[in-house]
Amino acid sequence: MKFLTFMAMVALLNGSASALSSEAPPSSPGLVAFAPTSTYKVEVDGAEIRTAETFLGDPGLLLLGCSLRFPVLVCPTDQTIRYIPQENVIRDSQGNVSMKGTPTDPISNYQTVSGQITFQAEGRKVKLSPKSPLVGTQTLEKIIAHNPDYESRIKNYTPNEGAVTFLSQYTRKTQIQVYFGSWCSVCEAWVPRLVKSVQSAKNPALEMQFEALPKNFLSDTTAKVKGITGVPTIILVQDEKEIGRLNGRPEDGTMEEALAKLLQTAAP
Amino acid sequence: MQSLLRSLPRVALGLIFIAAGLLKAVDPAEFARQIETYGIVAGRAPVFLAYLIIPLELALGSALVIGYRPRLAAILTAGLLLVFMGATAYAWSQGKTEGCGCFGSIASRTPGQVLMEDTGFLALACLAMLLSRSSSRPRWRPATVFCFVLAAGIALPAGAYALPIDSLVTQLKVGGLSSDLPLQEAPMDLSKGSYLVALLDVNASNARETVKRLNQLNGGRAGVVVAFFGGEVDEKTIFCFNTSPSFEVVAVPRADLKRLYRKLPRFFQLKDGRVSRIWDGAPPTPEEVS
Repeated sequence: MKFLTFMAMVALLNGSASALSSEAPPSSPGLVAFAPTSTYKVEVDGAEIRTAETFLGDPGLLLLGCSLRFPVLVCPTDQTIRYIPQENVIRDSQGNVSMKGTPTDPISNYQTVSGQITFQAEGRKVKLSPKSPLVGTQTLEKIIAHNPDYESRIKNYTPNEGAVTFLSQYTRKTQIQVYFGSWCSVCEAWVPRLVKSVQSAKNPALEMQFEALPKNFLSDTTAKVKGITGVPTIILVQDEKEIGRLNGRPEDGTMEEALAKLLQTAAP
Repeated sequence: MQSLLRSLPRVALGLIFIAAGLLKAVDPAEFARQIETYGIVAGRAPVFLAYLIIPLELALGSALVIGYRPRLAAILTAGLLLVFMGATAYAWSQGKTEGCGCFGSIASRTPGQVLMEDTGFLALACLAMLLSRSSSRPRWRPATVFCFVLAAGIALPAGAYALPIDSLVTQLKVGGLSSDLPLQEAPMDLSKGSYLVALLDVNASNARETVKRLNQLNGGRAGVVVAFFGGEVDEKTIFCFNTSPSFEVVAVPRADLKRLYRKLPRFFQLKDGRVSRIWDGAPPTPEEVS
């Protein structure tokens, strides 16, 4: 993930460009902007705090509403946990949050183990981890909200012109069912390329549907019913009948070329 | 001629075991990791087993090839194969479908393929047992060779990572093409322009320092930095939060990335789609990149 670019994007979307480039918690008075992020799951003493809100900014990750005495700042530069006095956290009408003044001195340090951040605060064990993978039927918007990298990958991909031309001229109504894992690295690379190609074709006959599968998808009912043995699997459906599928990344060429080829061979 | 035919299964099996042992010996840590994924042993045991099995395979393979106590060697080989098959079947029954480490990280196969293959090897071992003749006279030369190979089998894994053999046992070579590398998940076209590619372990204790150095190099003379790690998408969330990379971090399937390294981190420069330089252990200094 191009972290700073993402931060810039989030900050700009929220009307503030100040969530960039500083490394240490601010030491001088002034407002520091934080943008909401839904990337993290917060657990306190083993129980998920669903009311917890997380915000990313220059100084680090701000946790609100996680039943601790004060808002908590997780500072990656020195791997410390600090409090922010409640009155120093200002929320605007758009839901953005700013911090004034400086956070407290460190109350503890955090550890990173197996992709999770853990720390002690007020005698309680707090755990931050990436939020659970998506499962079930999804929209593209939901996928992008879960993983903003999908958006940048869609934007930056240039699909094969010949394949897009074929897709744009295809006349039979076709559902492109995308079975993927939001956790899956191959999906993160190839699904956005497929999305961009279909978007570029601007063909209403081609309809994309997204079904997110869990990590252990081999035992998932949907995957079993559809005979899915790997992700991503792209199933093409016409008149409620499967006309073909793409399993995993294409062996050669691009995803859109593979899709066009499959539609071509399946064409009546 | 008859003697040659009789020794064929024994020698063939011996060569297979020597090849398997050598491929594991050049990357013993990977073999230990593969043992761990079977879920039968934990803690330090996978490492211990890796360093035990490698010399055992080499010694049994050489004993079969040179005909040193051939019947005993064939029986022990068959026993070892049965242990491998049992472990593979157990791991498979537990839903662990990662390929075995039978031939190091070079060749990856499914558990089903592994069991089929081992059954074939077991048949060879049985043939070798039946066709081998026991020699009554003392044979000091084969015994010496056997002892030498056993010693080498112990020494080789211990010093494997100090040997400059990465270009022989990985797909990453100076002059190689980016299109031949298993990095199709890159969000940019690596065949055009200048890139400094980093292969990282996101759980490494020195990851912050490595990223800091890469941040300094990003966009400079080294070109655009892009980092790959073997794992799933969610593993990069905390990594990126902790290390703040100013460059793209890309998750790729671990088995794909493993074809490019024995030890992480590794770095290489790509110029117009061709690998121009490789660095191991630490990123290059600004002076080292041109």
